[in-house]
Amino acid sequence: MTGSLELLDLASGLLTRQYVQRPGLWPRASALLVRQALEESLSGYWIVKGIALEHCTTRAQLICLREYLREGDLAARVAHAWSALSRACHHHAYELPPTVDEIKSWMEPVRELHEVLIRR
Amino acid sequence: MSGDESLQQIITRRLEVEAPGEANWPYLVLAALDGDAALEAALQAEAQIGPLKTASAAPPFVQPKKAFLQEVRVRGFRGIGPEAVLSINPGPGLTLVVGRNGCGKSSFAEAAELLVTRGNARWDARSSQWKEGFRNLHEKQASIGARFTVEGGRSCEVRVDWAEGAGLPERTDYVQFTGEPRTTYEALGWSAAAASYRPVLSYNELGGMLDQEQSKFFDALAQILGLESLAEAGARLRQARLDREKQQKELVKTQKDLATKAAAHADPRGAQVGGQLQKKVADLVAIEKILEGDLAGESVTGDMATLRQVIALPDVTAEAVARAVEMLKVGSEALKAHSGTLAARSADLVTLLDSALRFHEKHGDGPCPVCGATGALDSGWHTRQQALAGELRDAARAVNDAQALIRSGRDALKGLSSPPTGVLKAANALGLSAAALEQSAERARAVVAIDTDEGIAQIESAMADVAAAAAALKQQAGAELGRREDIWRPVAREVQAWLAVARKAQPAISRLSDVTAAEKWLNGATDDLRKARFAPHATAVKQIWNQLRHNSNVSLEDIRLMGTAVSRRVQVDVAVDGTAAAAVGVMSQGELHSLALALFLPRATMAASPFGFVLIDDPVQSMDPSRIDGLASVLRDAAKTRQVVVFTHDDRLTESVRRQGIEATVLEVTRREKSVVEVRKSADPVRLYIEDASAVALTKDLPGDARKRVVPGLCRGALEAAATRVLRRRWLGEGLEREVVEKRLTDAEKVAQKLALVLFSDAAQSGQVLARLNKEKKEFGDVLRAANEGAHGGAIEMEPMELVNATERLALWVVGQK
Repeated sequence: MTGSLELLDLASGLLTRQYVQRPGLWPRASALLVRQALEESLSGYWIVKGIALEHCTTRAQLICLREYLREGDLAARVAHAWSALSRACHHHAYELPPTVDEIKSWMEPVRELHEVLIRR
Repeated sequence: MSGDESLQQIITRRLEVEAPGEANWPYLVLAALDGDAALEAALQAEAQIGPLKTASAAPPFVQPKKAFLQEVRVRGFRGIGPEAVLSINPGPGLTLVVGRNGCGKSSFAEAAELLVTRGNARWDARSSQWKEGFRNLHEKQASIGARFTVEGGRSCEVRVDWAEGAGLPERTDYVQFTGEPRTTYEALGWSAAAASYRPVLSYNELGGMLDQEQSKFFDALAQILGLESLAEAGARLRQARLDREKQQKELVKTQKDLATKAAAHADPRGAQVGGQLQKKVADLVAIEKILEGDLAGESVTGDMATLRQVIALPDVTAEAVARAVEMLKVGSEALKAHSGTLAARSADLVTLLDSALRFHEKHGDGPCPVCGATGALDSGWHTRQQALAGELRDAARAVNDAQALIRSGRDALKGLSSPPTGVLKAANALGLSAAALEQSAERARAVVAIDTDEGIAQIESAMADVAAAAAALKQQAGAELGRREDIWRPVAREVQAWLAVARKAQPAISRLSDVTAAEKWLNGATDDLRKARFAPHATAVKQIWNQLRHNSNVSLEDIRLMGTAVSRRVQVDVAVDGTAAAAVGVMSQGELHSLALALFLPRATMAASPFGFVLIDDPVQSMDPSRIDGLASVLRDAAKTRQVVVFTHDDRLTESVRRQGIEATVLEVTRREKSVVEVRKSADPVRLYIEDASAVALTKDLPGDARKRVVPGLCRGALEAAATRVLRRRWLGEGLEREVVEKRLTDAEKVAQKLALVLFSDAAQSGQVLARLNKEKKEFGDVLRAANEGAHGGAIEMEPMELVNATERLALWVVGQK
C-alpha cells in the first residue's frame, strides 16, 4: 500500500506535469489521490490511537476527529478539504475540474494531519 | 449596406428634388461631403447657382475575403507561462473554450483581441495595473501571436514580442503572409474594420455597452452603417455654422458696446457712428466716411464746422494790405492832378458839346441855338469844339480810372477787415475770444472809410492789428480742434479696429443662413438614410433577442438611432408584458447582457467585415441557466457562416450544446503549477473520463499503486456522467424545469443513487442497482464495485486497463437506457 505522504507527492507531481502527459487529466486525478491520502491519514490516525474507527464512514470519522484534535482548527480544515475533494471526485453537472490552487489548499491540512500522526 | 449608388449620388439626387432652385446652400452640402478644403472654398466663393455637378458612382460592393483564426500562440503573457497554443479549425463552426477562471483561457482571448484590434487605443485603454502586470511571472520571454487563414488560401501571422524586461510599450511586432517578407499591421487593412465590427466581444465590454454614454453607444452601432462620410460632412457644416455664429456673436457684442460708447461721445461724429452701429447690419462704408471726417450735414452747422471755418478765415497779410494802400495812394494822386480842371463838369459839357456838334452836322451853319449869337455855328466852330470835346473826354476817363482804383483798394481792405460775423458769433459762443478781431476790424473799416491822406496813412497799422487778432483767433481755434480730436481719436481707433474685424467677418457671417440650411437639410437626410440602413440590422437584433429571451417578459419592440451631434442616442423600446417601458430600467443584469449580445453579434458578423470569426469572452457569466439554451442556438446560427469562438468558465454552455445536438468543438483549458497552460480537445464527459482513465492505466511507470488508486475514481466519473446524461435528457423531455432537474441531480450524490434513478426512477432503490447490473452482465456489477471501492483506495481485482474497458461498455449501456 502506498502511504499518505507518497500519495500527496504523486498528486504534487501531477500538478507539475510529471508522470502523465495527457493534458487536462491532472485535476481530477490529483483530487482522487489527495482524497485517498486524506482517508489514509485518517485511518492511520485511529490505528495509532488504538481506536477502532477506521471502518466507519469518513463523515463519522471526521466528526470524531474534532473531539480528538481539540487544539487549533485542523480537524475543521480536514473536514472542509474532504468535502471539497469529494465534490471534485464525483461528476457534477456544469462543474469544471478543480484548479491548481484549490488542490494545493486541500493538500495542506492532509499534510498537517500526517505530521500529527508521526509525532505520536 | 451594399448599393451601387454612392452616398454622393444619393445626396445629389435628393438635393435636386428637395432643394429649392434658387437656394445656394445645396452647394455647401456637396462641398462639405468633398472635405474641409472644398467647403472652405465654397464658403469663400460668391454664392453660385447652377446645375449641381454629377457625383461618381460607388465602386461595386465586393465582399472582403474573410480571415479565420487558426491558432493563438501565447508565451509569458498574463496567466500563461511557457508557450501555450490554442488551435482552432479555421473556418465556420462553433468552438467552445472551456476552463475555470484563472486557467488562462481569457489570456488567449485577450491576446487575440490585441492582435486583431491592434490600435494603440486598445492597449492604452487598459488599467495601469493591467499594463504593469501583463507579463507572466513564470516566464521571462513574452510574446503573443496569431495565425489567420484568409479565404483563398493565404495565411498570415500577426505577432508581438517583448524583450526580456521590456515594458508594455517597448514591443516589436510584425505581420507576415506565408512566403512573403515581414510587413506591418497596416498591411492587413484591419484598423478601421476592427473598430467598426469589433469581432472580439468580452464580458466586460458587453456589460459596459449599455452603461456607456449614449453618444458612444450610438457611434458603436452607427459606424457599421457606412454613413461616416455624411456624419463627417455634417460635422464640417456644424463647425462652419458654429464658427460663424461665434463671429457674429462677438461682432454684435462689440458693435453694441461701441454703439453705446460712440453715441455718448461729445464729438458729433460719435453720434453719427453710434447711429450707424445701432443698425442691425452696419453700413461699413458709411462708418468709414464718418471716421474720415466726411460728416453728413456737418459743413453747415456744428462746433467742428465753426472751428474749421475759423481756421479757414483768410490771412491778413502785410503784402495784401500794402497793395491795397498803394492803390488808394495812386488813385488819390491822380484825382489831385485833375482837381483844377473842369473835370467835374467835363462829363456834362462833353454831353452838351456832342449834342451841339450833332445839331451843326444835321442843320448846318447858323446862329447859336442857345444864346442866339448870329453865325456862331460854322466849320471853324465845329473844328474847335470837336477838339475841346476830345480833351474833356480824356480828362473824365483819367478821373474815372482813379476813382475805380480807389474803390478797388478800399474794397480789398474792407474784405480783409470784415470776417463773417456769423462765424465770429459762433466762435464766441464756443468760448473763443473773437472780440479783439471784431473790434480791430471795425476800427480798420472806419480808418479805411476816411477819404484823406491822413486816413490812408493810418490804414496799415490798423490792418496790422486785424492781422494779429485774426492770427490769434485762428490759433486758438486750431488748438481747440486739436483738443477735440485727441478726445475722439481713441474712439475712432476702436471703431477702426472694429471695422477691420467686421470687414473680415461680414462675408463669413453673410453665409450663416446658407450654412445653417445646409446643415439642417443634411442632418435630416442622414437621419433618413440611417433609419433605412439600420432597419435590417434592428430586425436581426430582435431575432436574436427573441432566441435569447426565453421566459423573459421583456420583449424588444424597436431599436432606433436618434438625433445628431451631441444629442445622438440609441432608443431601445421594450415592452414588459406588452406595456412599453425604458430598456435599461426594467431589465435584469442578465437580460442587459443578452441585449448587448443581441445588439453586437449582428455587427460582428456583417458581410462587409473582413473578419470571418467572432470571439466572445464569457457571455454566460450572468445568464440565467434557462437562457443558455437560447444562447446555444444563437451561436449555432451564427456558426453556420462564421467561425464562432466562445470562452466560458463553466460547463453549462457545453452541456446545452451537447444536449441540443449542436455541432461544436470543445477545447478544455487547464493551468498547472508555474502557469503551465494546456489545451485539450474535449469529448463528451463520459468519453473524457474513459480517455483520462485509460491514459492513467497505460502509464506503467506511475509510482506505487497510483494507477489503481486513480483509475477507479475516473471510471466512477464516467458512470456518473452517463447516468447524468440519461436523467437530464429524460427529465427535460418530461417538461421539468431546469432548476428542478439540476436539484434532483445534485441530490443524487452517489453513483448508485444516480444509477437507481436511471434504472428504477427511484434513488432510494440504490441497494438494488448491483443486483440489476449483475443480472444484466456480471462484468457490470464488478465494474460498479471496483469503481466505488477503488475510488476510496480499496483493493480491486481487475487490472486497471481491464476496468477501463469494462467501464466503457457499462457506460454505453447506461447511456442507452431510456
